[in-house]
Amino acid sequence: MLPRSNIALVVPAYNEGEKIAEILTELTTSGYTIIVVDDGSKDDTAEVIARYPVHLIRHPFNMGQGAAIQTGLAYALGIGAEIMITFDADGQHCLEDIDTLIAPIINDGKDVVFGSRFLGRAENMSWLRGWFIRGMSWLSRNMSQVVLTDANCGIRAFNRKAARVIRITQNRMAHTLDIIEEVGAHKLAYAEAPVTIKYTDYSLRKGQKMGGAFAIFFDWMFRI
Amino acid sequence: MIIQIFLIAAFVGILLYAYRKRKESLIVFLAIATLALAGLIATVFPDITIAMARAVGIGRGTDLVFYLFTIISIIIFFRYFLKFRKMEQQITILARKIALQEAKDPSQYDH
Repeated sequence: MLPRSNIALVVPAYNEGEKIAEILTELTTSGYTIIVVDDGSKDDTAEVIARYPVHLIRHPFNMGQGAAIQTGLAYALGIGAEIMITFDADGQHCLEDIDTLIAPIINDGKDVVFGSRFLGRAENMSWLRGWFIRGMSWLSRNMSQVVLTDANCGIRAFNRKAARVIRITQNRMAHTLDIIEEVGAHKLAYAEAPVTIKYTDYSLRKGQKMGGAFAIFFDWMFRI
Repeated sequence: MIIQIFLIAAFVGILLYAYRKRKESLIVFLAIATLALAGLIATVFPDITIAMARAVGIGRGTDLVFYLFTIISIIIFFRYFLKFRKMEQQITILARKIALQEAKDPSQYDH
Protein backbone atom coordinates (compact mmCIF):
# COMPACT_ATOMS: atom_id res chain seq x y z
CA MET A 1 0.00 0.00 0.00
CA LEU A 2 1.37 3.37 -1.09
CA PRO A 3 1.51 5.89 1.79
CA ARG A 4 -0.87 8.79 1.18
CA SER A 5 1.98 11.28 1.47
CA ASN A 6 3.42 9.84 -1.75
CA ILE A 7 0.23 10.80 -3.57
CA ALA A 8 0.07 14.48 -4.53
CA LEU A 9 -3.15 16.33 -5.20
CA VAL A 10 -2.52 19.10 -7.71
CA VAL A 11 -5.15 21.78 -7.10
CA PRO A 12 -5.29 24.70 -9.54
CA ALA A 13 -6.97 27.74 -7.99
CA TYR A 14 -8.04 31.02 -9.53
CA ASN A 15 -10.03 33.54 -7.48
CA GLU A 16 -11.32 30.85 -5.12
CA GLY A 17 -10.91 32.89 -1.91
CA GLU A 18 -14.56 32.46 -1.03
CA LYS A 19 -14.57 28.67 -0.93
CA ILE A 20 -11.01 27.37 -0.86
CA ALA A 21 -10.66 27.41 2.96
CA GLU A 22 -13.47 24.87 3.26
CA ILE A 23 -11.87 22.56 0.67
CA LEU A 24 -8.33 22.91 2.07
CA THR A 25 -9.59 22.08 5.56
CA GLU A 26 -10.86 18.80 4.17
CA LEU A 27 -7.83 18.10 1.96
CA THR A 28 -5.16 18.87 4.56
CA THR A 29 -6.60 16.34 7.02
CA SER A 30 -6.65 13.59 4.38
CA GLY A 31 -2.96 12.70 4.62
CA TYR A 32 -2.30 13.32 0.91
CA THR A 33 0.37 15.80 -0.14
CA ILE A 34 -1.45 18.93 -1.30
CA ILE A 35 0.02 21.17 -4.00
CA VAL A 36 -1.99 24.30 -4.71
CA VAL A 37 -1.17 26.36 -7.78
CA ASP A 38 -2.55 29.86 -7.38
CA ASP A 39 -2.97 30.95 -10.97
CA GLY A 40 -2.49 34.68 -10.48
CA SER A 41 -5.66 35.19 -8.40
CA LYS A 42 -6.76 38.78 -7.90
CA ASP A 43 -8.63 38.09 -4.66
CA ASP A 44 -7.27 36.77 -1.33
CA THR A 45 -6.85 33.16 -2.54
CA ALA A 46 -3.07 33.11 -1.90
CA GLU A 47 -3.44 34.55 1.64
CA VAL A 48 -6.05 31.93 2.51
CA ILE A 49 -3.91 29.11 1.08
CA ALA A 50 -0.86 30.30 3.05
CA ARG A 51 -2.71 29.49 6.29
CA TYR A 52 -2.76 25.79 5.42
CA PRO A 53 0.09 23.26 5.47
CA VAL A 54 0.24 22.87 1.71
CA HIS A 55 2.79 23.40 -1.03
CA LEU A 56 1.96 26.74 -2.62
CA ILE A 57 3.10 27.82 -6.05
CA ARG A 58 1.99 31.20 -7.34
CA HIS A 59 1.86 32.11 -11.00
CA PRO A 60 2.93 35.74 -11.41
CA PHE A 61 -0.18 36.34 -13.55
CA ASN A 62 -3.18 34.36 -14.72
CA MET A 63 -2.17 31.77 -17.33
CA GLY A 64 -5.09 29.35 -17.29
CA GLN A 65 -5.95 26.01 -15.75
CA GLY A 66 -3.89 23.98 -18.23
CA ALA A 67 -0.77 25.96 -17.37
CA ALA A 68 -1.49 25.61 -13.64
CA ILE A 69 -1.82 21.82 -13.92
CA GLN A 70 1.46 21.57 -15.85
CA THR A 71 3.18 23.67 -13.17
CA GLY A 72 1.73 21.48 -10.40
CA LEU A 73 2.84 18.26 -12.12
CA ALA A 74 6.38 19.60 -12.57
CA TYR A 75 6.51 20.52 -8.88
CA ALA A 76 5.10 17.16 -7.79
CA LEU A 77 7.79 15.35 -9.81
CA GLY A 78 10.39 17.54 -8.09
CA ILE A 79 9.27 16.58 -4.57
CA GLY A 80 9.20 12.89 -5.48
CA ALA A 81 5.46 12.16 -5.56
CA GLU A 82 4.64 8.68 -6.92
CA ILE A 83 1.13 9.49 -8.13
CA MET A 84 -0.28 12.90 -9.07
CA ILE A 85 -3.99 13.66 -9.05
CA THR A 86 -5.58 16.73 -10.59
CA PHE A 87 -8.27 17.95 -8.24
CA ASP A 88 -10.49 21.03 -8.60
CA ALA A 89 -10.58 23.75 -5.96
CA ASP A 90 -14.31 24.41 -6.29
CA GLY A 91 -15.64 21.35 -4.46
CA GLN A 92 -16.68 19.37 -7.56
CA HIS A 93 -14.52 16.37 -6.76
CA CYS A 94 -14.65 13.84 -3.92
CA LEU A 95 -11.70 12.56 -1.91
CA GLU A 96 -13.46 9.18 -1.63
CA ASP A 97 -12.90 8.64 -5.38
CA ILE A 98 -9.12 8.72 -5.10
CA ASP A 99 -8.71 5.07 -4.07
CA THR A 100 -10.74 3.96 -7.11
CA LEU A 101 -8.81 6.33 -9.31
CA ILE A 102 -5.33 5.15 -8.34
CA ALA A 103 -6.14 1.42 -8.24
CA PRO A 104 -5.46 0.85 -11.99
CA ILE A 105 -2.03 2.51 -11.60
CA ILE A 106 -1.07 0.46 -8.55
CA ASN A 107 -2.64 -2.88 -9.51
CA ASP A 108 -2.65 -2.94 -13.34
CA GLY A 109 0.41 -0.83 -14.19
CA LYS A 110 -1.58 1.91 -15.93
CA ASP A 111 0.10 5.29 -16.48
CA VAL A 112 -2.97 7.53 -16.50
CA VAL A 113 -6.47 7.09 -15.09
CA PHE A 114 -9.26 9.42 -16.16
CA GLY A 115 -12.28 9.99 -13.95
CA SER A 116 -15.61 9.48 -15.66
CA ARG A 117 -18.88 10.95 -14.43
CA PHE A 118 -20.74 8.78 -16.93
CA LEU A 119 -19.36 5.59 -15.34
CA GLY A 120 -19.96 7.15 -11.93
CA ARG A 121 -22.37 9.93 -11.06
CA ALA A 122 -22.90 13.61 -11.79
CA GLU A 123 -25.01 15.45 -9.27
CA ASN A 124 -27.04 18.40 -10.54
CA MET A 125 -25.63 18.26 -14.05
CA SER A 126 -27.92 19.83 -16.64
CA TRP A 127 -28.91 17.55 -19.53
CA LEU A 128 -27.49 20.11 -21.97
CA ARG A 129 -24.05 19.97 -20.35
CA GLY A 130 -24.25 16.18 -20.18
CA TRP A 131 -24.95 15.83 -23.87
CA PHE A 132 -22.40 18.42 -24.80
CA ILE A 133 -19.68 16.54 -22.91
CA ARG A 134 -20.83 13.28 -24.51
CA GLY A 135 -20.46 14.98 -27.89
CA MET A 136 -17.00 16.21 -27.08
CA SER A 137 -16.01 12.76 -25.84
CA TRP A 138 -17.21 11.25 -29.11
CA LEU A 139 -15.15 13.78 -31.04
CA SER A 140 -12.00 13.14 -29.01
CA ARG A 141 -12.45 9.35 -29.35
CA ASN A 142 -12.36 9.76 -33.10
CA MET A 143 -9.52 12.23 -33.24
CA SER A 144 -7.06 10.90 -30.67
CA GLN A 145 -7.65 7.13 -30.67
CA VAL A 146 -8.00 7.31 -26.89
CA VAL A 147 -11.34 5.78 -26.00
CA LEU A 148 -13.01 7.57 -23.08
CA THR A 149 -16.61 7.93 -21.99
CA ASP A 150 -15.86 11.34 -20.46
CA ALA A 151 -13.31 13.54 -22.22
CA ASN A 152 -13.81 16.56 -20.03
CA CYS A 153 -13.40 15.32 -16.48
CA GLY A 154 -11.10 17.34 -14.20
CA ILE A 155 -10.11 14.53 -11.81
CA ARG A 156 -7.37 12.25 -13.15
CA ALA A 157 -4.37 10.32 -11.85
CA PHE A 158 -0.89 10.17 -13.38
CA ASN A 159 2.12 8.06 -12.47
CA ARG A 160 5.60 9.59 -12.66
CA LYS A 161 6.20 8.37 -16.19
CA ALA A 162 3.01 10.04 -17.45
CA ALA A 163 3.68 13.26 -15.52
CA ARG A 164 7.15 13.41 -17.07
CA VAL A 165 6.16 12.95 -20.71
CA ILE A 166 2.85 14.81 -20.89
CA ARG A 167 3.29 18.38 -22.11
CA ILE A 168 0.21 20.53 -21.71
CA THR A 169 0.63 23.37 -24.17
CA GLN A 170 -2.97 24.53 -24.09
CA ASN A 171 -2.94 27.06 -21.30
CA ARG A 172 -6.67 27.48 -21.09
CA MET A 173 -9.50 24.99 -20.88
CA ALA A 174 -8.59 23.01 -24.00
CA HIS A 175 -5.98 21.22 -21.86
CA THR A 176 -8.56 18.48 -21.20
CA LEU A 177 -8.30 17.44 -24.84
CA ASP A 178 -4.59 18.21 -24.90
CA ILE A 179 -3.91 15.66 -22.13
CA ILE A 180 -5.92 13.01 -23.96
CA GLU A 181 -3.97 13.64 -27.13
CA GLU A 182 -0.67 13.42 -25.27
CA VAL A 183 -1.71 10.07 -23.77
CA GLY A 184 -2.35 8.79 -27.31
CA ALA A 185 0.82 10.29 -28.75
CA HIS A 186 3.07 8.78 -26.07
CA LYS A 187 1.16 5.48 -26.12
CA LEU A 188 0.61 5.62 -22.36
CA ALA A 189 -1.45 2.88 -20.76
CA TYR A 190 -4.72 4.40 -19.58
CA ALA A 191 -7.95 3.45 -17.87
CA GLU A 192 -11.15 5.11 -16.74
CA ALA A 193 -12.59 5.03 -13.25
CA PRO A 194 -16.06 5.97 -12.02
CA VAL A 195 -16.15 9.23 -10.08
CA THR A 196 -18.79 11.53 -8.64
CA ILE A 197 -18.93 15.12 -9.83
CA LYS A 198 -20.93 17.45 -7.60
CA TYR A 199 -22.22 20.50 -9.36
CA THR A 200 -23.02 23.02 -6.66
CA ASP A 201 -24.25 26.60 -7.06
CA TYR A 202 -20.69 27.71 -6.35
CA SER A 203 -18.97 25.41 -8.83
CA LEU A 204 -21.50 26.28 -11.52
CA ARG A 205 -20.97 29.98 -10.92
CA LYS A 206 -17.17 29.59 -10.84
CA GLY A 207 -16.72 26.91 -13.45
CA GLN A 208 -16.82 26.92 -17.18
CA LYS A 209 -19.89 28.38 -18.76
CA MET A 210 -21.36 26.40 -21.59
CA GLY A 211 -19.91 29.00 -23.93
CA GLY A 212 -16.53 27.89 -22.60
CA ALA A 213 -17.03 24.62 -24.41
CA PHE A 214 -16.95 26.45 -27.73
CA ALA A 215 -13.84 28.29 -26.59
CA ILE A 216 -12.24 24.91 -25.85
CA PHE A 217 -13.04 23.70 -29.32
CA PHE A 218 -11.68 26.88 -30.90
CA ASP A 219 -8.44 26.76 -28.89
CA TRP A 220 -7.99 23.13 -29.73
CA MET A 221 -8.59 23.56 -33.45
CA PHE A 222 -5.96 26.30 -33.59
CA ARG A 223 -3.39 24.53 -31.45
CA ILE A 224 0.20 24.37 -32.58
CA MET B 1 -7.70 63.73 -59.23
CA ILE B 2 -7.69 64.61 -55.54
CA ILE B 3 -7.65 60.96 -54.42
CA GLN B 4 -4.42 60.42 -56.36
CA ILE B 5 -2.73 63.24 -54.45
CA PHE B 6 -3.81 61.68 -51.13
CA LEU B 7 -2.68 58.21 -52.17
CA ILE B 8 0.67 59.45 -53.48
CA ALA B 9 1.27 61.36 -50.23
CA ALA B 10 0.34 58.27 -48.19
CA PHE B 11 2.60 55.91 -50.15
CA VAL B 12 5.52 58.36 -50.04
CA GLY B 13 4.94 58.73 -46.29
CA ILE B 14 5.00 54.94 -45.82
CA LEU B 15 8.18 54.69 -47.90
CA LEU B 16 9.93 57.35 -45.84
CA TYR B 17 8.80 55.77 -42.57
CA ALA B 18 9.97 52.32 -43.67
CA TYR B 19 13.30 53.80 -44.77
CA ARG B 20 13.85 55.41 -41.37
CA LYS B 21 13.15 52.09 -39.63
CA ARG B 22 15.24 50.01 -42.06
CA LYS B 23 17.84 49.18 -39.40
CA GLU B 24 15.26 47.41 -37.19
CA SER B 25 14.42 44.83 -39.84
CA LEU B 26 15.75 44.91 -43.35
CA ILE B 27 13.29 42.27 -44.58
CA VAL B 28 10.26 44.15 -43.28
CA PHE B 29 11.64 47.35 -44.78
CA LEU B 30 12.12 45.73 -48.19
CA ALA B 31 8.65 44.17 -48.12
CA ILE B 32 6.91 47.39 -47.11
CA ALA B 33 8.99 49.45 -49.55
CA THR B 34 8.10 47.08 -52.39
CA LEU B 35 4.39 47.23 -51.57
CA ALA B 36 4.40 51.03 -51.18
CA LEU B 37 6.32 51.43 -54.41
CA ALA B 38 3.90 49.17 -56.23
CA GLY B 39 1.02 51.21 -54.79
CA LEU B 40 2.70 54.41 -55.91
CA ILE B 41 3.21 53.17 -59.45
CA ALA B 42 -0.36 51.88 -59.62
CA THR B 43 -1.67 55.27 -58.46
CA VAL B 44 0.37 57.32 -60.90
CA PHE B 45 -0.12 54.92 -63.83
CA PRO B 46 -3.48 53.21 -63.23
CA ASP B 47 -3.32 51.78 -66.76
CA ILE B 48 -0.64 49.35 -65.60
CA THR B 49 -2.93 47.57 -63.13
CA ILE B 50 -5.68 47.50 -65.74
CA ALA B 51 -3.31 45.90 -68.26
CA MET B 52 -2.08 43.42 -65.58
CA ALA B 53 -5.63 42.58 -64.55
CA ARG B 54 -6.66 41.97 -68.15
CA ALA B 55 -3.60 39.78 -68.66
CA VAL B 56 -4.70 37.43 -65.86
CA GLY B 57 -8.38 37.61 -66.80
CA ILE B 58 -9.74 40.06 -64.21
CA GLY B 59 -11.95 42.90 -65.42
CA ARG B 60 -10.76 45.86 -63.41
CA GLY B 61 -7.39 46.93 -62.01
CA THR B 62 -8.99 47.66 -58.61
CA ASP B 63 -10.20 44.06 -58.37
CA LEU B 64 -6.67 42.77 -58.93
CA VAL B 65 -5.32 45.05 -56.19
CA PHE B 66 -8.15 43.95 -53.88
CA TYR B 67 -7.45 40.23 -54.43
CA LEU B 68 -3.74 40.69 -53.81
CA PHE B 69 -4.48 42.71 -50.67
CA THR B 70 -6.74 39.95 -49.35
CA ILE B 71 -4.15 37.24 -49.92
CA ILE B 72 -1.34 39.22 -48.32
CA SER B 73 -3.55 40.11 -45.31
CA ILE B 74 -4.42 36.46 -44.68
CA ILE B 75 -0.75 35.44 -44.81
CA ILE B 76 0.21 38.22 -42.38
CA PHE B 77 -2.69 37.34 -40.04
CA PHE B 78 -1.60 33.71 -39.79
CA ARG B 79 2.05 34.55 -39.32
CA TYR B 80 1.24 36.86 -36.43
CA PHE B 81 -1.26 34.43 -34.96
CA LEU B 82 1.35 31.65 -34.85
CA LYS B 83 3.99 34.02 -33.55
CA PHE B 84 1.63 35.17 -30.81
CA ARG B 85 0.89 31.58 -29.77
CA LYS B 86 4.58 30.77 -29.67
CA MET B 87 5.35 33.81 -27.54
CA GLU B 88 2.52 32.91 -25.18
CA GLN B 89 4.07 29.47 -24.71
CA GLN B 90 7.52 30.91 -24.13
CA ILE B 91 6.17 33.33 -21.53
CA THR B 92 4.36 30.44 -19.82
CA ILE B 93 7.58 28.43 -19.56
CA LEU B 94 9.42 31.44 -18.16
CA ALA B 95 6.68 32.31 -15.65
CA ARG B 96 6.50 28.64 -14.56
CA LYS B 97 10.24 28.59 -13.86
CA ILE B 98 9.94 31.67 -11.66
CA ALA B 99 6.87 30.31 -9.88
CA LEU B 100 8.61 26.98 -9.14
CA GLN B 101 11.68 28.74 -7.76
CA GLU B 102 9.53 30.76 -5.36
CA ALA B 103 7.30 27.87 -4.25
CA LYS B 104 6.59 27.52 -0.53
CA ASP B 105 6.51 24.12 1.10
CA PRO B 106 4.33 23.31 4.14
CA SER B 107 7.15 23.93 6.61
CA GLN B 108 6.94 27.62 5.74
CA TYR B 109 3.22 28.07 6.35
CA ASP B 110 1.77 30.73 8.68
CA HIS B 111 0.12 29.31 11.79
